[in-house]
Amino acid sequence: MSERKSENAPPPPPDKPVVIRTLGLRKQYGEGESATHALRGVDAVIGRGEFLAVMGPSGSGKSTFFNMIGALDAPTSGRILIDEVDVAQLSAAELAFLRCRKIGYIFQQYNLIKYMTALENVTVPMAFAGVGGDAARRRGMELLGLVGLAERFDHRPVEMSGGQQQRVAIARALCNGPRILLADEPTANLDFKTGQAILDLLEQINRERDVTVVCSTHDHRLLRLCDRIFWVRDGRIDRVDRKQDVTITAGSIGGGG
Amino acid sequence: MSPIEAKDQAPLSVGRCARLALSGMSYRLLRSGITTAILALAVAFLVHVVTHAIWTDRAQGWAWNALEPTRTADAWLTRLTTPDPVAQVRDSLGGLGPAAADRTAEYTRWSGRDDADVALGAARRFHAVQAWAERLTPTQSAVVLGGLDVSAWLSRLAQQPTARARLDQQLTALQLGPPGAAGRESFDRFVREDWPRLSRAVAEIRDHHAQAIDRLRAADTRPMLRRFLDPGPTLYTQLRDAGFEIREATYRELQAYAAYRQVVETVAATLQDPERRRRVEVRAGSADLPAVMAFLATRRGAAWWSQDVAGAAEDATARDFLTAGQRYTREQRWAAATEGYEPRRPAAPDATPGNKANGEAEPQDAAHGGAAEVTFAGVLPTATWWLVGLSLLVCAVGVSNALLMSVTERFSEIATMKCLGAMDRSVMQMFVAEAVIQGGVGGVAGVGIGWALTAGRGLWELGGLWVHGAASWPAVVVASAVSLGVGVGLAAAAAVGPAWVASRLAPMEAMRVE
Repeated sequence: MSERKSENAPPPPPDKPVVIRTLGLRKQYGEGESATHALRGVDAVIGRGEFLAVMGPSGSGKSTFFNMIGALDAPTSGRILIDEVDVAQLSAAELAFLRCRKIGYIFQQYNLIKYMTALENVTVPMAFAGVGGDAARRRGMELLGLVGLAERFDHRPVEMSGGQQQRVAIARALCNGPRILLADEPTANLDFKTGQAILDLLEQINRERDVTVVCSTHDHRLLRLCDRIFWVRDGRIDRVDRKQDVTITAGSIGGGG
Repeated sequence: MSPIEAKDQAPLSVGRCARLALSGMSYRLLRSGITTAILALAVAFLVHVVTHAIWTDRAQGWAWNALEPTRTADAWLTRLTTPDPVAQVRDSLGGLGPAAADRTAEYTRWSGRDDADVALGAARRFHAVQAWAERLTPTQSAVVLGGLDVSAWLSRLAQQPTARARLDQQLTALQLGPPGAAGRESFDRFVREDWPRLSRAVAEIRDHHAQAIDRLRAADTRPMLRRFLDPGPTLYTQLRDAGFEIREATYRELQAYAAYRQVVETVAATLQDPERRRRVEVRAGSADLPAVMAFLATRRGAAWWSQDVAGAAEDATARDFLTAGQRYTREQRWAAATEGYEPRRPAAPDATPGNKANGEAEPQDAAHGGAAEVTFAGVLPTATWWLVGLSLLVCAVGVSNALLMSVTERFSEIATMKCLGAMDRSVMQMFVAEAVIQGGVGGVAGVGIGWALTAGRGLWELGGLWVHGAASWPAVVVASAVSLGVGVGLAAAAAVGPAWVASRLAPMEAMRVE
């Protein structure tokens, strides 16, 4: 494992219990000369209940970072600790357990299962958690109610708009009561207004349920909602801003600090 | 909001798996349909080949038995004009079954002299030697018999003492027991004394047979068929007087058969007349005897024939034509069905009393009709097994490909499932469940199609669903169940590979694969 520190000092630890911690995270695709270095040593600390935005241009390594902290992909070197447990130490079944109970995922492409209705999609993770039948359906309906789609429970993804699909995905991500919600560009495929609704929903979930939300995005509206911003560039965390450090004007930002 | 009850990461229940697989399949109806259809075809082929073999075998045995009266009648009509061939005399003398018993009584009478019992004993020993020779492997048979049939071989042994000595060496070298279960010395005596005596007895029997035929002909010079048509027991008495051992029941069957043959011959004779032939051709579509008889097998055809075609000299009625037409058509079909059929011979009698079944009765000696004895390996010729194996292989490749495609195009779905907490095992379960459902549906459909094919082919080749009455249902059911199992197993086996690969992938790798 590389002990080389990134150029920047690690982000200051927040004043909350640590949920996710990464140490010297590196990821490289391919071998030798042609290797692509998606992450070049990332140290980050994310606290409980934070609303975190990960920003950066395309190809900067945001998605890779997102996948790493979601335990969806293994790093080339470095460590990821979720609730202070090293993900690399977990067995396949324990990883499944982690993905099922502790983390909720929201994708840019929604990734709903095409042949299932909204309610079925929401209950899939509960089936994997061993909750089935009426209990799962009741909870699924509650969550669909939360995202405002209770009356559309019987629709399949093709019969729903992007915003509605994303809301089903959020309901699905919440169904096993996760501590962490990872959203990978959740608004990138949505129009302005729908995107705003999704962001509001994420913020509401963050506030009401004390769920840590990590959101990789290009959407500058998020800057107003989040507690901290990681600026990722070239496989490294370039800068960490707190919300109060950023001045926002309509449609553009001026970075501070 | 109610807190969730956290249990362990649970494997999917069977019902849940089936539901997931079914909803997935209904979404990909076309692909699932094609996979199912491939499986159905493979199973159908297997079921059809095996059940057809079983059914055909049964049907042939049935048809063979059904033709027995006709064969007996034909044999009787022949032996009323020609003495029995040597081999037949030898085989019937002391043979098994009621027919052979009658024949033995007749032959014993004809053998005339006081050594009838000796001839009978010699014949029984000959049967034992013959049975022994049949049990030899082809190599042993080639060494011992030297390509001769058993009677020629015995004659040579009887004439050449050197051949007898050589036989001793051969038997020792091949580690074979003496021919015909009795000791080697007893065999030696049989060859030197009984065999020539048997040959003499057979010649004598044939001589007497020829004399009996002459006596019959002296009484009445009309052809035999005509004489059978006479009412009353005149011919029967003449037959008994001439020395033929014929039962009254057999005689009546012969009369019925003669009447039927007479009608057929009348029809054949009528067709020789060009004028009438042309009229028949117009009406029946063809003037070939089988076609005309098939036409007569209909009420309409028989009536037309008896009114418009039959001459005044023919005293047959429409009913006679109808019966004859039906019998002729039926027997033609049965004859076609039994073409190449080898009836299973009853076990050869043993020479030495007290040494009856020596424990190594061959399976084919078992009476025809034991369902349990039908083994698949025995039912099909080797070439067909190759065909079955190859078709299954092709089907396996097709199904693997279909399932591989199905897995590949679902990588992102699998990745999503894994993000949502699916264990590797659950992913496997879902795909194998899907394959098993497809295999089951395809298998059941395949069994149905296979049966339909067999029924259709039975109808086409053997002329009727009566074949199924002769079917061995247990064997057919077992064959179908095995085929169904093969279908499901094939699908499951084909699914395991791709599903294994898919379940091992890290979620993000799986998403990237697309």
